[in-house]
Amino acid sequence: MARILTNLSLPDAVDAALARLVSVRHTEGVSHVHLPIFYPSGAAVTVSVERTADGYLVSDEGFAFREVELVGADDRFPEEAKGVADASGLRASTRAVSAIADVDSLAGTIADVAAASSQIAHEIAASGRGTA
Amino acid sequence: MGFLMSLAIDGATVEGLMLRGGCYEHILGGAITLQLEVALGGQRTRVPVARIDWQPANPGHKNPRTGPAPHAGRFIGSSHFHPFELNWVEQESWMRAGNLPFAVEISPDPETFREILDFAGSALRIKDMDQIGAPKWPARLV
Repeated sequence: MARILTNLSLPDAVDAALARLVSVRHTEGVSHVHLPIFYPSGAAVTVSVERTADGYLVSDEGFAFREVELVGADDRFPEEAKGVADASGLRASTRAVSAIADVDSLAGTIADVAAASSQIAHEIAASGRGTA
Repeated sequence: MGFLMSLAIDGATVEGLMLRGGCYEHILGGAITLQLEVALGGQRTRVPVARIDWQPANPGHKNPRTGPAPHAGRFIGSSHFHPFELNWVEQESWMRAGNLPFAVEISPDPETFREILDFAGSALRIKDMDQIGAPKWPARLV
């Protein structure tokens, strides 16, 4: 039977769970947003947000690249990332996926970059390179 | 930044058995990965066998919902260890799909690089971990 902590109200229990799933860490000039979207290893997707002259730069900081590098499939990253980025209206480099946002599109861009980062890693894993 | 080193058993180097270490230049003092892995038959790809994620940049980790109790479905929000035993499927004689999807929290969380090396030496059963030097993160202008 699932464990229920009876001393927690329903809102408190849900708030505590959500705080673990979604969080942000602000450091000098960059914010890291942790989201409940996951790579094949189970690692949660994190994206960074920095302010630039063009707007807010949202990047996966190479975390999807690192994910596939751990199984030796990083050579697949540029092609897979370009395909996913092109389909999502994002930018892909050889190691990261990113986009520029204004304040109104920042939330959607964070979601799009995070989803694309996860998708790239899942598609490479699904191709059978380096995984069981 | 990272390294890849061969491992020996009883003094003999085992082809394809490696310890991989990695961290990020821009994430100072943490986000260190140590992975025990096997390369098969000259292939570029490799099979992770066990992994330690110390103070990861993306701290959240979620175990699959189906698998060994009490670990199935658990969410971990800090340093964690992906042990071989939880990620090995005995019936298939192979690792679970998805790059070591099961992990357990490392508690207490090591506070220093030396402490995580000690933990890794014990968890991965590797001697002489103290030969690994601390990452040379670039100096930061204040």
